[in-house]
Amino acid sequence: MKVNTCCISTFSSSSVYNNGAFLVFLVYFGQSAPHVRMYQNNNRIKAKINLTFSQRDNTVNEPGSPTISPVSHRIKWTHVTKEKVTPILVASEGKVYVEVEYLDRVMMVNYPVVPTDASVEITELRSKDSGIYRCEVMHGIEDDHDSVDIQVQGIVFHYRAISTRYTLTFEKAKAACIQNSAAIATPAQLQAAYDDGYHQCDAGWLSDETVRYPIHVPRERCYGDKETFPGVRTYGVRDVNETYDVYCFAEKMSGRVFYSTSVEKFTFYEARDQCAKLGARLATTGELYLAWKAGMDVCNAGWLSDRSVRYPVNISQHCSPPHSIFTNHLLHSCGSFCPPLCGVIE
Amino acid sequence: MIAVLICVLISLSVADKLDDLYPELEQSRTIYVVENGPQLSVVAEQSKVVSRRGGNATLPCKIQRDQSLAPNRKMRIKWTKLTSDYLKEVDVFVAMDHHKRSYGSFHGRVHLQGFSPMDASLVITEITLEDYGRYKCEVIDGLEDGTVVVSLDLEGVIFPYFPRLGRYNLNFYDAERACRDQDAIVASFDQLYDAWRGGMDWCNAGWLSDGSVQYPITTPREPCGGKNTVPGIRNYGLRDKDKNHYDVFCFTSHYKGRFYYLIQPSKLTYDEAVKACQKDGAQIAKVGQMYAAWKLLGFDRCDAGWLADGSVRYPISNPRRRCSPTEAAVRFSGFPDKKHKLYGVYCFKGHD
Repeated sequence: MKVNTCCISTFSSSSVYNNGAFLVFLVYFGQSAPHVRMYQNNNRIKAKINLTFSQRDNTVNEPGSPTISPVSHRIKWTHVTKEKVTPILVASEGKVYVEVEYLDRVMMVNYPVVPTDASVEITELRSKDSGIYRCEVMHGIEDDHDSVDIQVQGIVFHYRAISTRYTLTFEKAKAACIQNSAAIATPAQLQAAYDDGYHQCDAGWLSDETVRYPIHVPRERCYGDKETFPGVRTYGVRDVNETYDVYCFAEKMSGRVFYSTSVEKFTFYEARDQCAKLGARLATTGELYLAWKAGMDVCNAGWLSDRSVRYPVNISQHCSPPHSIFTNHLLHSCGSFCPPLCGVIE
Repeated sequence: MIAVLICVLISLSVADKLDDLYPELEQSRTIYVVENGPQLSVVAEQSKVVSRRGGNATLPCKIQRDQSLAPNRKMRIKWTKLTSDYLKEVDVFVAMDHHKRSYGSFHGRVHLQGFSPMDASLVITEITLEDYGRYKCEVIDGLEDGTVVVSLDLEGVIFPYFPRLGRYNLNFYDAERACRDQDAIVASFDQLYDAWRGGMDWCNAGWLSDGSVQYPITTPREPCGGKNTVPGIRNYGLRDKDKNHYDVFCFTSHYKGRFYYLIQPSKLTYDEAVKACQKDGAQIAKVGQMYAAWKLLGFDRCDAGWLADGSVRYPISNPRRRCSPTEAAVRFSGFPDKKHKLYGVYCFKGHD
C-alpha cells in the first residue's frame, strides 16, 4: 500500500492579529476527502486542513507485511518572509523539535495524541511575527504544504500628561489612553513590545493595575527589580491612587495622519482650526504612533490633540535618532507655534 | 459544518486506534526535544553548473552527517526548482529508499547520480531552455533537514526583440509567445546582466522573465536614462503584465540542426522565401536560430535574408566595410513589405 497526501489549501489567506495576542493554527489531516476551514474569532485563528491518505494503486497489504506507522509522517512549520525562512518546529514519530527562538512560545495543540493534528499555537505575538506561516506534511515520498499570511498589528507606546512626569492615577491613565485612540496596555502587550526591542525608563500603569517598564540596556536609576539584567521591570500591583505614567496600546485607525505644511506659525487653537479647514481634526498621539509604525517620516514637529508637539522619524537622520517619535516639545524650534498634524477619517 | 464534524470524528477515531497502538502516548503528550546543533548538513561543491540546450548537467548536492551516528535507513531527498515568487517551488524529483518520482516536464529526464549513499546530486538530461534557473536540494533525516541551492546556467545568446507590429507592442504574455515563436524564451535578469557585462547596449525597454522591464546601457546618453549617468541596467521595475507594453529580451541556446543561407538564382518575396526553404526540405529560419548560429557557431554572411517573422536580417561575425563596419552583430533591415522581391532567405533544417 502506498500513501498519498493530497490537496491542502487555506480557506482565507490573510488575517490580522494584535501585538501580544496569540494565534493558533489548527491543521487536521485524516482519512477523509480534502477539506479546509479557517475560523477567526477575537485573537484566535483556526485553520483546519485535511490531507487525504489514499491508496494510489490497488495492491492490498499482504498478511503480516509491515504497516506504515500512523505517526511516521513528519510535520514542519516555518515562518517565511521575503528576507528569510525561519524554521519553527519539526514533529515526527511523536517527538517535537522546537527551534530555540520559539522554545517558550510555541506548542503543538494535540500532537501526538491526535497525530493527524498538526496544529500549533504561538503566544506573545510581536510585530516581527508578521509574515507567512507554512506547514509541510510529509509521508514517505509524498508531501504537501499550505501557508497562511498573518499580520500582527498595533503598537505599545509610553504616555505621560503634558504637564510633567508621573501624574496619572490608574483611572486617569486609562482615560488618557482612550483620549489618544488607544487602550491601556496589558502586561502581555508590553512584554511583546519589549521582545520587539522596545526600551523605556519610565514606570507606567498597565491594565492589571501593576506598574512596569521595559529595559534592554540597564543603567543606574533604571535597574528596578532586576539589577543589571535586561527585561521588563515591575513594581507589582500598586494602589490605584498612586501616580505614574502609562503604557497604551493603539490597535488600528480608520483614517490617515498628515502634516499640514505652512510658512505660518500656529498656536494650538489655530492649529485645531487649520485641521478643520482641511476637513480633518488634530491627530491623537495614538494615531501618530500608528502612522509612524506604518512608515511616516516628518522632520517637523506638529501639534496633536492632547496639546503635545511631536514628530515621527523613520529615516531622516538629522532630525533625531531614526526610528523614534520625538516628543520633547520644549526643546523644539517652533516652540508653541507649530503647524498641526491632522488626522482624517477615510 | 457537517464536513468539519466528520473531520473531527475521524480524527477522534484515529486517536482511538492510536491509543491501542501506542498506549503510552496518552501520558507522554508532546516531548519537546532540543538538540545540540545540527548533525546533518547539505553542501554543493559548486553553486553554479553550466550546460546547453540538448545537453546534460549534474547538479551537485552532498550529504554530510555526523560520523558517530548509525547510518540512516531512510533519508529523503527532494529536488525542487525555485521561481521568482519566493513562495512557489516546482517539484522536480523525490527519492526515499527505493521509491522515486519525477514530476511534470522533468519526467524521464532526471535521476540521482548516486555515487554513494551520501550523494544526492541530480542528473538532468536533454536540457531545455525552460530548465534554466535555481534548484533546491533538500535532504530530510528524521527530525533534521538541510538544503542547498544550485543554479543551472545555459550557454547561449540574448537578443532584444519586437515584432512586425512595431516597438512597445507586447504585454508580458505576448512577449512570452514572441520569444517562443523565435525558438527562445524570455531572458532572466542574470542573463541580461551577463550580456551587459559583455558590452550589450540597447536603448529600448524589454520584459524579463521575472516580470520586470529593463534595458542595458554601456554608453550613457540623453534619451537612455541621461547623459551624465553611470553605465548600467536601467530598471523600470515590475510592470503590469497585462496592461503595460514593451519589447522583450529573449534568450536561446544551442540547437540541433543546420542553419544556412539558401543560394538562389534571384531575390525573393517573403512567400517565395518560405516555399524555397520547404522545397529544400527545411523551414524558413527563426530569429533565435540566426542569433544562436551567429553567437555560438560564428556564422557570417553578408546577405540580407527573410526570416520567419517577416523581418530581414543578416549575421556578421567578422566586421567589415559595407556589412557591419564596426562590430560583430546580427544586422536588422526592418520588416519590409512582404511583396518586395529584394532579399534572400535563411533556412533551418532540424535533426529530429
